[in-house]
Amino acid sequence: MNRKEPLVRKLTYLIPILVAALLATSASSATKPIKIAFVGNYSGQASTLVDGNTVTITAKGAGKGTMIGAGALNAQGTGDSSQQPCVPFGGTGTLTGASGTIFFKTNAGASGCGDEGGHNFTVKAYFAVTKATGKLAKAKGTLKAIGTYSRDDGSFTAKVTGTLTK
Amino acid sequence: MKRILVLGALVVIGSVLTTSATAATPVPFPSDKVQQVFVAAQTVTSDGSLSSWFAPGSSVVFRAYAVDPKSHKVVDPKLVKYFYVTIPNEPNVKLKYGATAPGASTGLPWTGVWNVPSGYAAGGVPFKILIKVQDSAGKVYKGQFVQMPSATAALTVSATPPATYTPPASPGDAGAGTGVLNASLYVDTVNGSGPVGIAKRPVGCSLTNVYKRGEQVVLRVWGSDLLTTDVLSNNNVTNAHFSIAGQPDVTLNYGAHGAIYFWANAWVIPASYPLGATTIHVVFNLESGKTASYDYAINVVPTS
Repeated sequence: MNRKEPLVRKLTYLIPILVAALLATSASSATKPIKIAFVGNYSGQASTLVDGNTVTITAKGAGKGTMIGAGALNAQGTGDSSQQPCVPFGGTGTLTGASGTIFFKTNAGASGCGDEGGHNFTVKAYFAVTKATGKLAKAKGTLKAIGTYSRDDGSFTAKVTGTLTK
Repeated sequence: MKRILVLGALVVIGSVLTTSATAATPVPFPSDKVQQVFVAAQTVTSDGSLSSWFAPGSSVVFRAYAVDPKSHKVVDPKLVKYFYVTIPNEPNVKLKYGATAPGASTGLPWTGVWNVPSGYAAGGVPFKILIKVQDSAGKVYKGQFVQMPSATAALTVSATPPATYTPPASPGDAGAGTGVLNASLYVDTVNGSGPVGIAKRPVGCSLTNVYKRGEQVVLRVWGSDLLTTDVLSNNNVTNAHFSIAGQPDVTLNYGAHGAIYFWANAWVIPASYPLGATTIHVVFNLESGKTASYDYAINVVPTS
């Protein structure tokens, strides 16, 4: 009997530790953020109105994105055409679908790089998500947007990817 | 009849949508992927001066390097089964390994010489370079190099080629390096059409690695991710730039140049920039978190 006493005492100490560990695990899983791999593809028409070195940009397109579904991309902003061949720009926009909307603003560094004739542009930007609704409510993160823009016919394409957390 | 009209309308709508969607689709050079052996090559004079314009009777030195798709290292010469230049209506030019051969460098150690026939017709020379390697297990890999489509930077034979500035910079160890690579890179330079305080060259945007102060050094780069084989584009590159000692970094932009897309940007050599050899350090930070780099040598010579 005397030999069992230390074992019982050890178990007595271990039980609260195990309980605490379980509670900690449970608590961490409850607050663990959900990661959502977002992919959206959009295409449509964009207009670029030049006034001096300021370019006013408006883009409207259709497409679909993860969880929000089929919908639209709407964005507006301004660029600085004094810088060539890559015009830096900034602005805000939304990705809207039947199941939610992502509101975003562009981070610094967004640019559209034109070819020698200024006809075809590659566009690269990072969208900071400022708000999300619907199935993506409370989602946060940054999305990478890459695409193309034809100044000849106004068409654009945009692929928006990234990981959101909520 | 109604069905035919509906079908016709769908076809019209479909074709309009297709046209709209393809209007701005990037065409990466040389293709979406580099599936097997990556090959990069340049045309130089026997002293290593980069040039795309040669006269009949002169000698074009092709210099090249290749990257093994299995080891992700520069191809081991012992594994090469063939490596040669093919020129329409001309004998093939075999490339030999040796970094000290005329026109060769440590980074581009495979060279071959094409003596342009005196009667060779003026115009572009659409050469290709083909390679075959076989690993120790007997598996064969092939690759090829083609020039970027450019009227001024692609190899051209002319009775009156523009003069080449000399001498070229000694390239030293410039190149892709010797370790395991994350991406294969092709790098060259052309003279930009926007020099500052110095006259434009007779032929703008032609290959050169020798510049005068005030001239515009235009870097042209393409490459492929060795893990995915995807050609580098905005899809898989976080950012890219080139660095020159004492100068602000210059962002490399991915964009359209004629019908193709590659990475490029320009640097105007300041009026007070030191003469002599300068290394341009090219860096690509990939979306995968890996980095690829390439050292490229130019020479800055006196204006007069």
